Amino acid sequence: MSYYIGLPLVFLLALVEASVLPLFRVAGLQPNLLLVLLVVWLVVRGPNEAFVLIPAGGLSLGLVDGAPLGTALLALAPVAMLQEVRGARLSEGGLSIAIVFTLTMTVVYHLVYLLVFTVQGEAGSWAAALGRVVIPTAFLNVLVLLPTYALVHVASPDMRRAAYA
Amino acid sequence: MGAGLLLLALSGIGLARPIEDVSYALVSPLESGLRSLAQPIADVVANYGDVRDLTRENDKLRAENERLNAELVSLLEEATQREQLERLLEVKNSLAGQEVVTARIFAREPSNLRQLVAIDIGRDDGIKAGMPVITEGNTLVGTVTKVEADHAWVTLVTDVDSAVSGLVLESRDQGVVSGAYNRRLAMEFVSQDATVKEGDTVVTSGLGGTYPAGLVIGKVTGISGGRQEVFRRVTVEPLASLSRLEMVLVMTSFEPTRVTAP
Repeated sequence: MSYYIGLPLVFLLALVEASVLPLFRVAGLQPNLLLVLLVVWLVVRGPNEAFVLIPAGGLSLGLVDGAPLGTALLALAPVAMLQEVRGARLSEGGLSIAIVFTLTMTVVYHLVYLLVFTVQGEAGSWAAALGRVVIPTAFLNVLVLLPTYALVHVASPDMRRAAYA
Repeated sequence: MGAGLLLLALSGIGLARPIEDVSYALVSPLESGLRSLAQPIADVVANYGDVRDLTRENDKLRAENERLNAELVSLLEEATQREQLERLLEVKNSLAGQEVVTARIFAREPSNLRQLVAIDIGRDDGIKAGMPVITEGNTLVGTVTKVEADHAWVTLVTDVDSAVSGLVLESRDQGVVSGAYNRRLAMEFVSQDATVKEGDTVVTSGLGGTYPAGLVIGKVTGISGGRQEVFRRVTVEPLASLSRLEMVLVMTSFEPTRVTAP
């Protein structure tokens, strides 16, 4: 897999998040598919590709959502910082580190959105948002993470070979 | 992150609008296409097995219920408010005479924090921020809050940023109907003397000039707030199926008024 697949994929997922996923909401919530994919991409395939896909995904999502342009980019940017947290050997943690990162990044992602909405005067109670939206979405994202991780992992034989070399 | 902040700043002062206009012109057909492709799958999932017939019947009953509710609202208005007949008839006539434009929903805000939908008409079609959006049976959907050249974003009544002056049709109790993160509506600032009961219909009161009076908001499903509290809190179930809306009507001839202090 490379940028030829990754870039169209993040753009497609941004469209899917705005047009298709709302039709399949569970208890009014939908997973952040793009966020999950970017976390998985970073963990499985390393930072080089992820550092290009994260801003591309942020821009794509920003162009199709209802928040001010740049909010999605800002909310997804912290995913790139995970590299600093984990160092250069991200792939060693595997699925467990991907789960931890997904939970953390879901919270960070929503906090950025909440901050922007608060600045605009359009946010409700942060406590209610955390309890009713952010935390449930984090667990929903973990559910989506499992098949996403498996797919990206299976589709990355080059990375697996490099890991065992 | 720097780029994100820059775009956010540009968006805040409106300089990003041309970029957003161009991008939406490009991606909205794609989104519509994806949504059209996914809709049958969503329907199959929703109508799986025996549930299929029940769902269909439920949809039919819901539509019938909305129509009957609209009729009931109209009849109750006339029966209970004879003294205000002239005024209400004026409102009704003005509602009937409203110019409305049909719009198709082609996207929804993906963030679970907001309840916004994108409609396929915008500034070029005469859409302005503040215009009320309704659906079948004069049921309130929300308000146009962000307008671009060829599309607009509608903030649903269930959004946390939504607040509508409401009136309980049967008891004439007033309050503010606001959205919440749990996708339900709460009618706040309802007097302790209120005689509202479950099943009552809540409509827009027209106070504040943001919405025309008489648009149906929902049904009362619960009342809380003891005597020791200043106000009672009324839970309202939206009458419109907001999560499955496909078409809406924008009241283009309604001009929201901005009330200033005396």
